[in-house]
Parts: sequence; C-alpha cells; structure tokens
Amino acid sequence: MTTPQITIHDAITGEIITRAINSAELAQLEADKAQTEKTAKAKEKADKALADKRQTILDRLGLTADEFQTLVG
Amino acid sequence: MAYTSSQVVQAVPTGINSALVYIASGTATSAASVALTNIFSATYTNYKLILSDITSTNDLADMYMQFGTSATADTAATYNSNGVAASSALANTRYNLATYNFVGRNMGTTNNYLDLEINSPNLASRTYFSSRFFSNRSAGAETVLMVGNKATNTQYTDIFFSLSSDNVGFKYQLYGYANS
Repeated sequence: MTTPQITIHDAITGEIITRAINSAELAQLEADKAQTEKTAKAKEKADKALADKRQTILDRLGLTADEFQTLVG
Repeated sequence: MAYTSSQVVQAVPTGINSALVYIASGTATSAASVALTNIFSATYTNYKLILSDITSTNDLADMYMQFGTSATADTAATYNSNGVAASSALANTRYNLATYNFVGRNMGTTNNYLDLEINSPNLASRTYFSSRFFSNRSAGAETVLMVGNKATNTQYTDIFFSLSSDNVGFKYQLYGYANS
C-alpha cells in the first residue's frame, strides 16, 4: 500500500515539500474514512427503508410510481 | 509618507478601505493532504482564499479544512461547522466533525470550486470562516454553504485541506483585507 502524501506550499519562500504523512495524521485520516463509510452505509440503509415504505404504500393503492407522480404532479 | 519596497506592494490608495491585497497563489498537486503554510500573519485580520479546479480522486468525497502552525495541523476537536447543501439542512452528525471544518461534499473528480472567507486566524482569538462550495459532480452536484469556527485562541499561520477519501489538488489565490 502506498503511504498517503502531504504537500506543503510555503507562501513566503515558494518552497514545496512533499512527504509521507506521519502516524498521527494517518490515524486521523483513517478515522475520517471509517466515519465516512459508516455515514454512507447508514444513509444507504435509510434510503432503502424509505423506498420500501413508499413501494408498500403504492402496492396498497395499486398504483405505479409513474401513475402516482401523474396524480400529484 | 515614505514606503519600504514591501509596503509599496501592499499600499492601498487613499480613501479606499478594506481593499483586497494579493498575498499568494499557486497550484497544489494532488495529495492526501495539502498545506498552505505561512499565509496568515499579523498584517491582516480577514482573508479571502479561492480554490479553483479542485480535483478529487473519486466522486462523492467530502472536503475538510484545518488550521495549523509550523506545517502541523491542529487536530484538537474544537472545530465547529454548520450550513446547508442545496436546500437541505446539514445534520450535525455528519457535518460538524469536531476535528475538521467541513467545507464541501459530493465532489466531482474535477473543476470543483471553493470560495472561503476567514476571520482572525493569526490573532489570539477564535478563528471563524464562511464558505461557498460548488460541486462539479454530474450526478447529484451540490452547492454547499457553510459557516463555523475553530474554538481556540491559537494564532495560526497555515491552512490544510483534505478529503474524506483519496487525494485533493487545486489552484489557489489568497488575498488579505486591508485593515484600514
């Protein structure tokens, strides 16, 4: 696995340094990624639950999604 | 009034207050984290930083910001961010990250844009920001408007940008608001 890099642009000198991120920075990065994945999965689950609920109601009414949109549009 | 050579560059015409004064610009090549160092000083209280042509390795990344000194980011959990994306309120659970200021989301892989205003990063008082972010994602693009702070009195000289996943690159232009 390639170690993530940080680029540092010094506005005074114009110097640009690229180095591997340190252990603290790496730990933070991994924690952020874990949180992002957790959030994405939670959103996916919530979206699916909402879609299922919507379909259940449409089935009960005997309508397709397009027919429902025509009614409310 | 006599000016030194450096003062002449930063001089504001008489009668014009709060003029924007150019500080720095450049292109930051793509990396997991990008730091712009020595950009904040006692010369200005308020700054305008524009990031254009922002690239992300993958679709859908969120964009984060931190402040720092000596090329080291302040990762203490005292960042606060709130705002809206398109017409939706952003839930605190995702966007008030504590260890970052949240400035963008649902990024496209190219040509994203961030217009950032920063208040008092180099003063011994809280640092505040407001931002406008344009996501260039063809499916589900976002406009993200954020405000927030870094709730410490640290005097910062640097700013850091990273994404929720993979690498970020951009062009940047930095200006200071003349104090008088």
